[in-house]
Order: sequence, then C-alpha cells, then structure tokens
Amino acid sequence: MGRAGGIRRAYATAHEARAAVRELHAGLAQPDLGLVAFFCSAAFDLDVLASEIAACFPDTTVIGCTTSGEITPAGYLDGSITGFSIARAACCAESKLIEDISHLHIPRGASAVDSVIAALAERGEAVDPRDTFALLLIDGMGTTEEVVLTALHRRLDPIPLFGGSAGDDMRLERTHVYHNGRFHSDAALLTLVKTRLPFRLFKHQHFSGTDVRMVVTGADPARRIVTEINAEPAAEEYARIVGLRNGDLSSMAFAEYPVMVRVGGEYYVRSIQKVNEDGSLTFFCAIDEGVVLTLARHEDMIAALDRFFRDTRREMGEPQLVIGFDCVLRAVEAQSRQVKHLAGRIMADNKVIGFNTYGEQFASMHVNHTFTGVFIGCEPEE
Amino acid sequence: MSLRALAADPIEDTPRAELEAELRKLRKINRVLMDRVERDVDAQGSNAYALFRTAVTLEAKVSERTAELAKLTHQMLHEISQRRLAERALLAAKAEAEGANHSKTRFLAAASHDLHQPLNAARLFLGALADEIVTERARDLLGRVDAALDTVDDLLSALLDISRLDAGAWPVNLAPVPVWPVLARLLEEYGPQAQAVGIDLRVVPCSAVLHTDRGLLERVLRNLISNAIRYTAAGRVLVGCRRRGTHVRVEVWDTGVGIPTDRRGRIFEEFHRLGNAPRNDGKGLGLGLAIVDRIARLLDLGLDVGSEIGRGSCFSVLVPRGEAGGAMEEPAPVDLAPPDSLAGRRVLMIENDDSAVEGMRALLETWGCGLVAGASVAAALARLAPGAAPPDVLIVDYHLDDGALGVDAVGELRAHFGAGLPAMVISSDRSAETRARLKAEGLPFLPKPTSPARLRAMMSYLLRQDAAV
Repeated sequence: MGRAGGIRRAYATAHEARAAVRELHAGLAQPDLGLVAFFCSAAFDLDVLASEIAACFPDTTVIGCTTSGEITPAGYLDGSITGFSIARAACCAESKLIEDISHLHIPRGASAVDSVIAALAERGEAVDPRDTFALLLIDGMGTTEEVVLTALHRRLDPIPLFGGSAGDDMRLERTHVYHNGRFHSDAALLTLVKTRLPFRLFKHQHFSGTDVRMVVTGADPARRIVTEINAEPAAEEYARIVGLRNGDLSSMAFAEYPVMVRVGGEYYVRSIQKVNEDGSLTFFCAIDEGVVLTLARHEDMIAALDRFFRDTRREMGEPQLVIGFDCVLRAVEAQSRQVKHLAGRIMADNKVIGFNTYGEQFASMHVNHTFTGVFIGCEPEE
Repeated sequence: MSLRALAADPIEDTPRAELEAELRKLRKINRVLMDRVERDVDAQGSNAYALFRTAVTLEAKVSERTAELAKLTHQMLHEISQRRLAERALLAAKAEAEGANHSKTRFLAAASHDLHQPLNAARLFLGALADEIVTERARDLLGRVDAALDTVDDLLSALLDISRLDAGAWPVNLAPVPVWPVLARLLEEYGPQAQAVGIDLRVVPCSAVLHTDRGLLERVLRNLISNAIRYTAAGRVLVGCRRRGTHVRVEVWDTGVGIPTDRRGRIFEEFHRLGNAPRNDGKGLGLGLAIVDRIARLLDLGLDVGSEIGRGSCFSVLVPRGEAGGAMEEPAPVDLAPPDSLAGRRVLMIENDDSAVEGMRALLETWGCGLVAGASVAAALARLAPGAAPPDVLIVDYHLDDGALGVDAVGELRAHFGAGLPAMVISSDRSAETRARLKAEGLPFLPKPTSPARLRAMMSYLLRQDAAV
C-alpha cells in the first residue's frame, strides 16, 4: 500500500466462518494495526467467527457487527464478510461495549464516553473534534437508538458521531455487535478514532417531499408501532395511499414508497420495517401519535449518489477509505430498480466498506433510508 | 371511505352513515393533532420521537453554530497563518541581516587586521628612518607620511568600531560613573589642543554620578569635544551638566559656525562632513558623529543637537543617573616613564608576520637593542645562539599561526627562562575580550601599529620594573 497511509480493505465469500475470517485476515493483515473493523452476514456461525476474529487479530482494537448485506471492495454482496484495517501510524482507536441498552440511562452513556476518552488519554492521545470521530455500531432490533444517542451525545459533543444499526439479512430477528471475541445483542459499541488523516462525516439521501400527507392517529411509541393512520388501520391506509393492495406490502414497497417527517425544515425518512398481524406497522425509528407523515418522492438514486461522491471528492480529494452505512431499504430500492450493480460499482470506486443497516446515526439523530458515514482522505503532501 | 373520497365527492350524494364515519375520523385526527401540538408546546417530551426531534433541532443549531465558528476559525487561522508568514519573513530577513552584519564584522575585523600589519611595519620603518634623517625637508616629509599613516590607522579603527557597534558585538559594561573625573580628564587632554588654536575650553564642575559605560561615554564626549574645537574659529567650547530628573544631560557648547537646519539629520551619517570647518587639520574623518550616534543608540542615550548658524551649536546626551556609593575609583594612569637607555637590551620576539619583524628589527637597532625573532616559540628558541644570555624582554604577537595565542607563548618562554621575564603583547586585535584576557594574565598590551614612542616607553617601564624586583 506504500504511502496510502496503511489502510487495507478486503472481503471474503467463504461460507464457513473460520475460512472466511482467515481469508479476510489475509487481506487486512498489517504489521502494526490501529483499528480493524468487519461487517458480516448473520448467516455465519457467529460463535466460530467471533473466536476466529479474536485469534487472528490479537492485541488490536477490533469492531464489527452483523449486517443485511455487505459493502465490499467488489460492491454489494450478501452472505459475505468485509472489513478494513488502518495502520497504527495513521490512527489510534479505542472502543467500549455498552450492554443492556434497553435499560440505558443517561449517566451510564456518559461514563461509557468517559472511559473511551480515558483509554485514549492513557495512550497519550488527546481527543480533539478536528482529528477524532466517534463510530457507533448498535443492535438494530432494539428500539433504543434515540435514547442511546441522546445519552452519548451529551458527553461526546463536539466530537462528531456517525453509526449504523446492525442487521440480520432482513430476517428481523436478532442482530449483533462484536466486541472482545464475542457477539452481543442489546448492546452498542462506541469507538473513538483519532487519525491524522483528513476526514468528513456525511449523511446522504435522495428524497424530496410530495403534497400527500397523513396523520398518525394511533401509535405505541415505545415499540415504534403505528396502529392507525388517518384514523384507519395503519397498513391498510398506507397501502391505499400509495396505491397498493394491503397484501402487496413488502420491504420492496416500503423502499419504493417511504414516508417522511418534516423537522427543522428538512425531511427525514421514517422507514417501515414490517406489517404486523393486527394491521399495524412497525418502524425502524421513533414514531409518535400526531406525527404528520409526508409521502416521499424519489430522485434518481444513482445520479444522486454519483453527484454526492463527485462533490465530496472535489473538496476532499481522492478517498483512502469510506466507512459507509447504507440503509437496507436503499439496497432493496436499488435492487427493485435493477441498479444495485451500478450503486455497488460507485461504492467500490469510492473505496466504501460498510453494510446495509437497519438505521443510521448521525450526530444525535437516528435516521433511515440514508447513506451515512465518514469519508477519509489522503494525507496532505508536506 | 377515505378522506380523499370525502374531498372528491359531493356531500349530498354521500349516505349519512358514511358521513358520520368520516366525521368520527376527522374528529380523531383533530384530537390527536391537538394532543401532539400540546405536547410540543409543553416541555420537551421524553419519548423516543421527542428525542429524535430534539436531536434534529439540536443538530440544526449545532450546524449553524459550527458553520459560524468554522467561518470565524477559518478567518482566524487565515490571519494567524498570514501573521506567521509575515513573522517568518521578518525573522528570515532579520537572520539574514544579522548574518550579513556578522560576516561584515568578521570581514572588517580580518581586513583591519591585515591592513594593520603592513601599516604597523611601515610605521616602525618610519620610526627607524626618522633617527637616520638629518635634513629639515626630509623630516617634514616624514612627519607628513607619519600623519597620513596615523589617519589611515584612525580610519581603520573607526570603521572597525562602527562595524562592531552595528553588529551589536560591542560589550557594554554599565556601572556608576562619577562625571567629574571624566570631564576633568577630557579637559586635561583637549585643553592644550584648544589653547593652541586660541579656543577657550572650559568644563563646569559637577558632582553627578551617571549610570553608563564609562569607556563608551568618554568616546562620545571625546568626539563631541574634538568636533566642537574643529568647527569653532574663535571663542569658547563649554562642557557642562544639567540634572534632568532621573537623568543628567551632558552638554558640549561651542561658538562655532553652526549647522544648517536641513543638514542636522545628515551629520550623523558616515563620512558626512559639513565642509565649513575653519580648521582642516586632516583629522576629521567624518566618522566621529556616526560613532557617537551608534553609541548613543547602544547605551540608549538621548542624543540631541541644537544650532544657530554663525553663533554656535550644542550637542548633548541624556544619561541615566547612578548611585554614588557604587562608584569605582578611577584607575591610576599607566606611568609612562621617560625613556631610559635601552642600548644592549636583548629582545625576543614571537611574530608570524615577517614585515612586522623586519620593521621592529630596524627600530630596535636604532635603539641599540638586539632582536631574535621567530614565528613560533620553537622557531625563536632555535634561533637563539647556544649558550647565549637569556632575553631581557619579550614582545609577542597575540594571534600566532595555527590558532596559537601570544599569552601561551609568554607562558612557555617564561617557563623556559624564568617567571620574572618581562613581556608585552602586541596586536591589532583591540577587542575587549583580548584586552580582558591580557589583563587577567597581567600582560601589558600595545596596539598595532605600534608607535615607536609607546613601544620605547613600555620597554623602559618593563625593564625598570624588572630591575626593581
């Protein structure tokens, strides 16, 4: 890699966990590692995978989680493992597992932040918002992202944060984050990365509003369930508004017809996770009664993605690595429009490593249907 | 039934039951929205959606603030970087200027040394020649040559001084200085000179104590007084002091030709002469005030000049006052005794400049002295005839070949001939360090070019002392 600052990207497609990890390790190994991250399909034998990761990368900060699709050096893949490694010369990272996040209260979030900052300080690294960012990997099946973010943000500010909610290949059952040789559910993994490379956090989406609006008239905010829209059963009314039959509602429909809330002058997609037996809808993010939902209008996602990278490159130059968390419904959308290979090529061309998420985090916001991450540039010439 | 249908269909055609259902829905939507509005107006909710909303608005505020800060920071960084660049450029320019100054000083010191060497030799030859010359005419010419050489010598010394002052290489020794002994000595020194040209030089007694560098202050006053005498056709030159709070102003008044207003600034420039001096004694080099100006800046003396054409001028320096208690005793002047007969004295000279040796030999021979010389101690000792009597006096150049120093040569020779062997060091290096070193070693010093009179006086002094021991 030479002067490329010691960043390696790799992926492996072996089905067997141990073989896949070894293949990945071969691609990521460097003499002195500052950070290793991996994103793997939930279809692997996770216990085997976790212990093999621990064995392959001893004495290194390794972070990872399960996915609903991987963004690899070869574009989008399903059922694979992908990752990157950054040499210690280019970055210094410390992570902290926050468990039992369904019962998190603010002080515990703050102390988690403190312990990561202290761990960095012990290595002689001062945390500075100009050279440090926070990366969050969090269980995607809890309904806790907003609370966790609020707790972390209070202590973290002004260190910029981004993150992704772990996936499970759209089985919507159980997602995991990896820490210290084991996978954990109901947990979040906070990592602070201090680097001398230039970086920029981003949140990209490709929607605008329409004049079709609806009101959530019944909801269970704690479980992110909407029971009624416009005083009608939620699924039925949503299907009617977007022009589908109730039975046709699938992730493809949710990707095609996202609804958004408007806050602070901007639209934020509230992605629908699934239709429940009782005709209610479960969302991937916070929802409440009285919320006005606006039907979204798509712009060309490929053109928008291409424009996004061109704009960013103009300001930041060639990327060395983009850590990208891409909403699973964007992948579904790309698939249904038969442009997923194009999106994958743009991702690969821009050195994106990441996964398809059940939600993305940016600052203290938990959002959906975005492509969120960090763009890491090359070291400026002396 | 839908809201949209409701909007599209005329109410008259709609069955009452449907209208009632629609009304129920609208009431519910209305109630939910009102609840929501109330919750929003209420304090921050604590459910997840409220957190999200808070996060969004927070983010908007943060972005706004960050953008403002970024703009300010950018401006500041830009200014800082500009300032850094300017500072760096200034520092580079300063370093370059200092470097240039130092190399100029080194060059001038070296040039001065190299120029002093042949000058020294020429003057020693002249001294020897003077003893041979009998005709009045030749004696007169010789006197002029000697005076011309004196001027060259003064010029060289002045240039060297200026370059040292410019380079900041001049050591400053601030101490309490009673002003009266200084003025009295200057009166003694310049009184006869002034009297000779019919000028009444007077010094007003003063008990003030100054806080300054005595040598440099003397230098300033010397220049001002000799200028005053030079530019005054007839009348008086008056030197006096006025107390001015924490300072004392030392003033030199003359009744001379005066300085035109438009030229007052330029008189401190090098080689600038007014050209209206009533006496062109050939000694005005145009460097005196340039040196005064530099010393004044070095010592932070307020230098002032007032003048009226045809009536006279007043030059003054404002000097800080000092504590009387710390005043040092004026050192006793070196006793330059009248020359005794030096005939038959044996001189051993260590000198790496052959022409200087030859000049010295010619001079010493006219005094009846014998000279053995060498470029180093070993060379000189080798030239001494075996069994010959030890030398009576040593004359050693300070800077010898290969970095050897005259001080060490004296040490070696004294170890060889005995510790009491009289010795003097000659050099064109008049730096304070060299003088301090020699003083510490108890070795008398004569500057090059060595004036025959001073050399003779010094030799007599040393040999008499030697006899007294």
